[in-house]
Amino acid sequence: MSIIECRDLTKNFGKIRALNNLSFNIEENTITGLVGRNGAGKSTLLKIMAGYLQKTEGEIKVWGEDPFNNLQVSANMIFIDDNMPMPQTLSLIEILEWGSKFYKNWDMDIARGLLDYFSLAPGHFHSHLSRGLKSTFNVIVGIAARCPLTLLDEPTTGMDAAVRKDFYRALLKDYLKHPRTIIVSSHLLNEIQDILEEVLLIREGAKYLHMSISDLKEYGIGLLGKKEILEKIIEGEEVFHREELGKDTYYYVIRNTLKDQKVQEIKLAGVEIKPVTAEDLCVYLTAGKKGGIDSVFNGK
Amino acid sequence: MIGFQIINILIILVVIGLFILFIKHAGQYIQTRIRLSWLLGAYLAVLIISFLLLNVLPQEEIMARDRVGEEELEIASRAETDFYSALEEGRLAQLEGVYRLRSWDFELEEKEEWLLIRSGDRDTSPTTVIINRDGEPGRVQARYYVTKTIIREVEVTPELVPPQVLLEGNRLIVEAPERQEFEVASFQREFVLRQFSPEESEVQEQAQPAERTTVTTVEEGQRIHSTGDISVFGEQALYLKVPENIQIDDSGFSKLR
Amino acid sequence: MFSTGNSLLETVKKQYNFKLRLYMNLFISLVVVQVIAILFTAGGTGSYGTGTGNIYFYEKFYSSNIIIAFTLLWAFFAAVLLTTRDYRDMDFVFIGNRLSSNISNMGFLVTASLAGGFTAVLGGVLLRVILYYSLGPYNILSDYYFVSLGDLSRAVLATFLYLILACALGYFCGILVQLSKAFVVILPALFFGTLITVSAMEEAHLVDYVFNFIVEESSFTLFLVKVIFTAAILFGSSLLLSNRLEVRK
Repeated sequence: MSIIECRDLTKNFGKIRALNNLSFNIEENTITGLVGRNGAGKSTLLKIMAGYLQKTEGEIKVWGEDPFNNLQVSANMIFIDDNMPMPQTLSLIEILEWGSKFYKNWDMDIARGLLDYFSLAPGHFHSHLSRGLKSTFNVIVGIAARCPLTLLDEPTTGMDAAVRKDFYRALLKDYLKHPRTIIVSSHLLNEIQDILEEVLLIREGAKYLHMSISDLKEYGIGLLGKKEILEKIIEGEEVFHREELGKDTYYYVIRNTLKDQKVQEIKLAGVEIKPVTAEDLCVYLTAGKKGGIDSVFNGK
Repeated sequence: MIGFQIINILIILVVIGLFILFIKHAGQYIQTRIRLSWLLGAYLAVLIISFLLLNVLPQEEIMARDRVGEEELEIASRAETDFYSALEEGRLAQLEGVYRLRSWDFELEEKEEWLLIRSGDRDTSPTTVIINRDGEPGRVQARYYVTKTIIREVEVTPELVPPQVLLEGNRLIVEAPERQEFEVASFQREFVLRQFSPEESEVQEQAQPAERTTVTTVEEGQRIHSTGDISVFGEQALYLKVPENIQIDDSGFSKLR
Repeated sequence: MFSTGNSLLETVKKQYNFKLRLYMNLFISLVVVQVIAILFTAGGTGSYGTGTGNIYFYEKFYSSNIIIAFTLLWAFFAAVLLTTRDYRDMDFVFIGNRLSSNISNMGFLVTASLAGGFTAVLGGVLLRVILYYSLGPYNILSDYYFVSLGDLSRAVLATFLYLILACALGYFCGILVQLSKAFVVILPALFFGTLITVSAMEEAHLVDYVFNFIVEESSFTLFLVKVIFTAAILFGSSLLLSNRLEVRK
């Protein structure tokens, strides 16, 4: 069942078009990664889902309803980002206590446990925390709320690698025990891909692709070899990326629609086949300038 | 006129500015080391205790010096008008509202005595002295008479300091009292309640000159309505009864006989 | 997992209780504002001196007017504060929509007005007690000095209603500013412009009429009705105007 249905969603901020005819569905009880460049529209999309921002055109339905000003949606949804306006005058434990009063599914034990695990003093104040600890606390709130729709916008900002690892693990564990629909936007696809089920890639406000993580990992294939040979091979194929690695060695990424036979041909031609990580693939897919950053230095 | 308004407005601006700054940032400075609720509770406790206290305080002490009614004012007013004529006609004792504040009796040492009567050297108005020569030989009697002084409806007569009367050798000295100051505190109604009792006019709002305003109606036998009067400054006179043959050298004061 | 039945009433109640705790600092600023007002008043709010000859009579006036006036200002700015971006954003951390947020804000402001009225009038009582010990009872006149429970209730009620009005006005102005930054300039200009013109001119019919509509009403019931009516209009307009405002931008 689709929890979120989005049809031709468009959002303008004055003259700037942040979302451009975006269409997709999010199924219930899935973890979806929302990926894209900075400014692609990920936060905007999440905030519209949360009912904070209004759409300009198109349609968005959360549980079949417009999420803006919607109490039902608000009661079953939580939105966590890195600069949440947490109350300045309440201590951490008080914020958690109020969370439990608001949300029917709130799990106080998990909340306290996580607070303790990450060495956050219950009596401290949110504004006194470092960036990383603020994010940590915010995700504790996000996890403990157990909302049927949990939206996390770059939740790991400022966290060090160890904390991030713990966070992914905690999120996954709780998700498995108490399934819900989670959408996480992140730059660190490599790290997070292990807990994701689906990936939604946004490019310049529009949907680029929406597929399972396993499909994404095999979506592209990397070819390493001499330029002339590569150019012949990629005829008719969808090319995502071209890169000069060294003298006469080039790295191309194409869409993986190769049959076994073609694979053999390629290998015989002396071209190395490499898998492409989801993260790299997304980078290539959302690349702006052709030629990459090298073009700046090549004086083109 | 405009300049005055501008200063007022500037003051309001500054106050408002401070308010905004303060209220906006109050949260950041007061991070609960002390529990916020205790502070509020303490304040409330102080307020409630003061209310209880106010209702327990002895009322008589406060009302000891208080405002008097219109009738008192009228009596005092009439006495004040009538004072000098009564004095002249010798019917001071019969006049309502005249009080003898102080009496002195002196024995003269020699029969034919020079009496020098002087007011003390003060800038204030000298005491009115009336001399009656029907006195017994060898004795001088002084009586200080006043009518009530009521200022802004508060009676201060009992607290008035009478002049000093001293006998020094052959001189009878009358020293006018020093300048006396009275200070009272009074409460006004809150402005939010004023609108519900428009008939009540408060004494504070009446900027009365010390002198009596003109009487509006004077009719034969009827009460004199001195509308708007809230102060009556009493008349006063020092009545001296001296032996007939006494010589008096007086400097700078009024006498009647 | 999906919970239904999250009624407006339920959410408003939760938000209201949350705000009583969340905005407690506003009550601290109320205390500070009133203490300052009491200190200002302790020197008297006016005086009149008169005398003749060698008698000089000096009467000093006291009242809780300054305390009430400061509290009115506090109420206005507290209401404005609630409409600012940070505060509105905070409303959406947990559960709420614009309607529930506005209603719970108004509920909070009414509560704050009651607290303000109560403490402001009692502040005057505290003043009386302080003066009893500092000036001595003999020097105090008994006019309006003693405050019975009835006097207290009447004064608290009247002050409470004026505070609600101040809050409604503040909230409305705050929402206007959120709608367009231009109002940050327009509203103060309007206010001070009116002040200046009114004080310069002999007659200012429109302003007088608006002001006197509330201030010269001598019937308490009518006053009550007028205040509720005006506050309802101001709060209602605020509600309507802010219902499509975006948050967490």
